[in-house]
Formats: sequence, structure tokens, C-alpha cells
Amino acid sequence: MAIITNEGKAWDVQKLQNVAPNSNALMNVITWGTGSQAEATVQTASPAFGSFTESAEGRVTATLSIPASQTDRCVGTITATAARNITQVARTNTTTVGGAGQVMLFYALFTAIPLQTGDQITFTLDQLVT
Amino acid sequence: MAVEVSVRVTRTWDVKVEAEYGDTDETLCARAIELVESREENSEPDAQDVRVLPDYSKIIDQSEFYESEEDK
Repeated sequence: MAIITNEGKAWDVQKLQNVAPNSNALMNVITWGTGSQAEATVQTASPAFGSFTESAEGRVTATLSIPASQTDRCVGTITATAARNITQVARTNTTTVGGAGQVMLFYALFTAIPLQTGDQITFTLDQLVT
Repeated sequence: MAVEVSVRVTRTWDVKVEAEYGDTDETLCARAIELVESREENSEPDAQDVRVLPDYSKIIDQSEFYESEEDK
């Protein structure tokens, strides 16, 4: 299951009304994780997200697009630097863990994807306003 | 609102094939694939070395907007 966090919902609202500071950052960063914790709508822990185990590869800047009028798309590719079992992906707005105004927009937990060094996953994360 | 997540897993190999007279891009690629498959068939099993990836190029989740007890 993938969820939009409470912070993500608040970020959406703030962005619509240009409320600082979160309105000043694009939601264009993707990170992956190796944890097994269920998604939680509250992700306020700092610097790391509360129930998300970020992998050592770090965060990547993704590409934003609007493929349909009601679809907010974020696409990013992460390359494994060691053998990993990837189980989590999140969309956020800072490339630095614990960066100013950090918000996790949404979070998905899935069946582990086993990777070797050099393998890549391209994530396509869509938020559908329907 | 709803969210969707889809993933595409990519693995690359470093292989070298020698071109012969009459080869085309297609025949060279076919020989490179045979070479990779041959390597994998002859390799020793390794718990950390996953040789065949399932098809992850599908939507993992297409759930409706999630509401926790806290949201209610």
C-alpha cells in the first residue's frame, strides 16, 4: 500500500497557499529504503523519517511532470552501491536527510526487490488528484 | 486523491563480442545476450547474487487515498 502522510497533506495545502517554508521547496526528491515497517501517516521524526529505513545510496533529485491534467508525476532512478533488498520508497523535498523543511509526501512499502551492485530502480510516483 | 507507485528494475552487463563480416547490430546483440546467459548458467549459486529478476515493471499499488484512525 502507498499512503500520503499527514505532513504530505499539509504540504499540499501549504503549497496551494504559498505558505513558507515548505512552499519554497519542490517535492522532487526520491529515496529508497530497506525497512519493513508499515507505512504510517505520521513521519515527523528528525532527521530520519519515523518508520522508514533509508539505504546508504542517499536521495536523488527526480524529474517532475504532469502527464495528465490531474496527475502529479515524480520519476527518479537510484543505483545500488551494494547488494540490497529494497522494500520502501518515499517522495520528499530535501536531498539532505533532516534538511530544512523536510517533508515526506508519500511512502510505499512493497515486496522486497533484490538488487546487485550497479542495479537500478526507476520509480514512477504519481499523485492523482481525482 | 490516490497514489500510484510503479518500478522498473534495470541491470547492465559489461560484455565484449567480436564482430565478424556480415554482422549487424541485431546479431551482435544476440551474441552478447547468449554470452551473458552462458555465464549465468555456469556460475556458482550465491545467496547475494540474484540472477533472474521477476517482472517488477508493473504497478505495485494503486490504492485509494489512505486514511488512518488518526485522520478520522
